[in-house]
Amino acid sequence: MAAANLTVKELSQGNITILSLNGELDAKTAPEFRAKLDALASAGKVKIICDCKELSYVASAGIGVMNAVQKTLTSQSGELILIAVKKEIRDTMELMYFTKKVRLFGSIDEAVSAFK
Amino acid sequence: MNELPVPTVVATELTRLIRLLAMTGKKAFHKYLFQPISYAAWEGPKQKWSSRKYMEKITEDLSEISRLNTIAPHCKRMICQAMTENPSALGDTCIFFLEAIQREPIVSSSIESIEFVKIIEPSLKEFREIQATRSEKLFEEGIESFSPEELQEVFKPVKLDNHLEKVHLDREILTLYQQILAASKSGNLQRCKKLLSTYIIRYKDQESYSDDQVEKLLDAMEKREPGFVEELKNSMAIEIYYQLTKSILEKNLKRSIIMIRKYAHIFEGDPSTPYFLEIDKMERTLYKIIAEKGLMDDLKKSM
Repeated sequence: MAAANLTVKELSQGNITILSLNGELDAKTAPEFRAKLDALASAGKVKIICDCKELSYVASAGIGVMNAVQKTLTSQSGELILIAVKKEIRDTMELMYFTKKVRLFGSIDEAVSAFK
Repeated sequence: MNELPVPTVVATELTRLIRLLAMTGKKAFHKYLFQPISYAAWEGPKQKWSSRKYMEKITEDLSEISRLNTIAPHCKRMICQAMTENPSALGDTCIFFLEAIQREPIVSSSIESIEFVKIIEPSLKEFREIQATRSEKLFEEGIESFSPEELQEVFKPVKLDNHLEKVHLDREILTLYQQILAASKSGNLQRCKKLLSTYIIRYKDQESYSDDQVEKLLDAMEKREPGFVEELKNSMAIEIYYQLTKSILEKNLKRSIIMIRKYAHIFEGDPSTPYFLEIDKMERTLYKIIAEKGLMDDLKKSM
């Protein structure tokens, strides 16, 4: 998926989907990201890890998308987990109280273990 | 060919834009409101009644079902008369007409209402674009000069340590919710929409907000009037953006930031929401300046 300034690469590890985000998640890129997450949820892929190592900015529009998708996933016994979140991104998420609604880990392995 | 009635959300937004226009001065008011109406020949001749007198008469007529079809033609005469008076009279009468359009379907589908919106909408949308750029600039300048303490204050959650304060707030929320239920039961959907909008904007970020109950109520309203939720969402976004722009013009930056955060909290990144991109730009400015000033850690401590 390629947006104005966000690219999302998708990988699968068993029943877990790993999305690597590169760029900015703002009002312009959030709709396409939302569509991607909704499509995964509709296909029953409800265990999702977002690798945020290359994510350089997140706006409330992006956090809003993750929050809404988190509600959908948890209602289907799934979850959205974030990994490798930079300090600035984590700070913004904390200001929006989003870190209370999502689990954050350092690596893919840790996140995969958390799903088990 | 019959034309479509004026959508409530259009009337709501035009009302808000006229209020903002009034805050920006006489020159803009003349250019974006007076001139288009004058050019459309909605001016004079001077009537027997003043615009104020018209307003009183039309207000009485609004409660008489048999007179509702006369509201729009009277509103047109009232505006023509206001054009011969002063800018305040013109602004008041335009807002009055737009509010009547929002209130009564028969008014929104009248020839006069449709014509009126066609006259004022293009210039007010032009004003909206100019104002959006201006607001972004003013917001950036204002936030640049904010002290760390002021920023911390804005990001503090509402703390209800004082038991009495919490009781007072809970009571206020409950009262408003009861009013919404009453309006819903009596079938007054416009009032219900207004109250719900106030309730959600004011309290969605509070502990006592009844999320499940509001969802149930919205589902019921949507069944009764398809499109209710969409219209409510649009009018809330317009209201928040209006409050945000107003607070920027009044140099009340604290309120501006609160409105940006409320918008984010309520609409959760839904791109179909009005003013989605405009608010995103301001948010980016806000976080950029917080980062530049190195205030993030202090802000988090204050939360």
